[in-house]
Amino acid sequence: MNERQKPGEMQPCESWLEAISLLAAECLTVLEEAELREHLAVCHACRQRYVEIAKVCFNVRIVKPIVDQERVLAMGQCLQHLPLPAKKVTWRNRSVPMRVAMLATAALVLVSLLSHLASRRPEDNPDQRTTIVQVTPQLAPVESADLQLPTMFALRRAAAESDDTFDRLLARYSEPSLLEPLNRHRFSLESLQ
Amino acid sequence: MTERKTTFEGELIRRVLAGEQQAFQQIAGQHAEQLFRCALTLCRDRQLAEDISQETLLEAWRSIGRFDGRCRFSTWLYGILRHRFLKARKRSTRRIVAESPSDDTRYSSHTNSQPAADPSRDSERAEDAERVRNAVAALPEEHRQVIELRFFADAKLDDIAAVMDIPLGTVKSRLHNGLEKLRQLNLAVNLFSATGESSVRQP
Repeated sequence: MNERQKPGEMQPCESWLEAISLLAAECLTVLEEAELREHLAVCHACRQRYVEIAKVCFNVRIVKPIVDQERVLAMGQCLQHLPLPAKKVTWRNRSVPMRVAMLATAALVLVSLLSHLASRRPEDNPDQRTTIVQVTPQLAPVESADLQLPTMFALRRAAAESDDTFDRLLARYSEPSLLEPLNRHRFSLESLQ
Repeated sequence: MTERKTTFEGELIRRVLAGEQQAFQQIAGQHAEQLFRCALTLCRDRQLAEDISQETLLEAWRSIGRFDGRCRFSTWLYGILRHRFLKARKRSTRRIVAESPSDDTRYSSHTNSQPAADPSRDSERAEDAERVRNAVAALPEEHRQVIELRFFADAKLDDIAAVMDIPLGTVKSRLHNGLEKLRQLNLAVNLFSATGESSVRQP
């Protein structure tokens, strides 16, 4: 008699109950089944329990729902035109140019990141901030049109016309400092004529 | 026999991993019915079960490269099935309802394929089937699912663990508790005696 079974007791052994159910449901390994069968051979109560549970299993199995084979075949139809599975791309699988391009991109990103960080460093210390002075552009002073000298062409033309014309032209430029070179020019023109 | 089947499946999986579509169709065909039965157990809606099973097979094909052989192929499939079921349940607006248990034509042929020599015996068998189905349906959800996955879908214990996302020990205890409840519901009797099969293998 098995030591787990108490003498005279018809209750099945507590420790074998689950195994009995699993045996009836055909879920035990070969070793487990052999061990349990050794016990069943000597324990009437457990054997009785096994018979009962096996009947339950049989009765449940027999009401198994019918599956329409047409439906199962229809499920298989979706497999007729399967798209190819996406292959897992690993680093080693990538081509050499692709790897070089990826490394170069990574290096560029790293450099730009570092330069960005370096440019932000002075902000950490407000005393060392660089002050940028913006210079407002100044316009150069425009000389008055009155102070401009007459062109050589205008002088020649006026001198060619008449002396009065020439004088009137010169009278426009009343500044003595301006007139001096013009007078000199006039003399030279007269001498040429 | 089981070993030979495993070797054959291993060979098929090797071919599938090599990208052979035909091998995948073959292996999917072997598992399609079980997947469908499992899905039916989970959602109790034939149309939804069909959709989930199809999605499972397609997903399996797409991610076949991720199958590393650490578990059985069926267990891996059941893991995907569970994932698809949870997704479907989340997105589905329709209520997952239990099927009408009175539809006898959808149940095992053991109960109705016998020659109708004795109409009174046939009606007895139909009543027995109804009684068993009602008893299974009356079980708590976690016990019912384990019982149905084991006896209706013929799923192995570790496959059930993968589908339900529970430890193997929990599957065993739920199976035992479910069977024990059915025994207490007086199912440990010789029903379907007219089927002519020996209901219990002697220990």
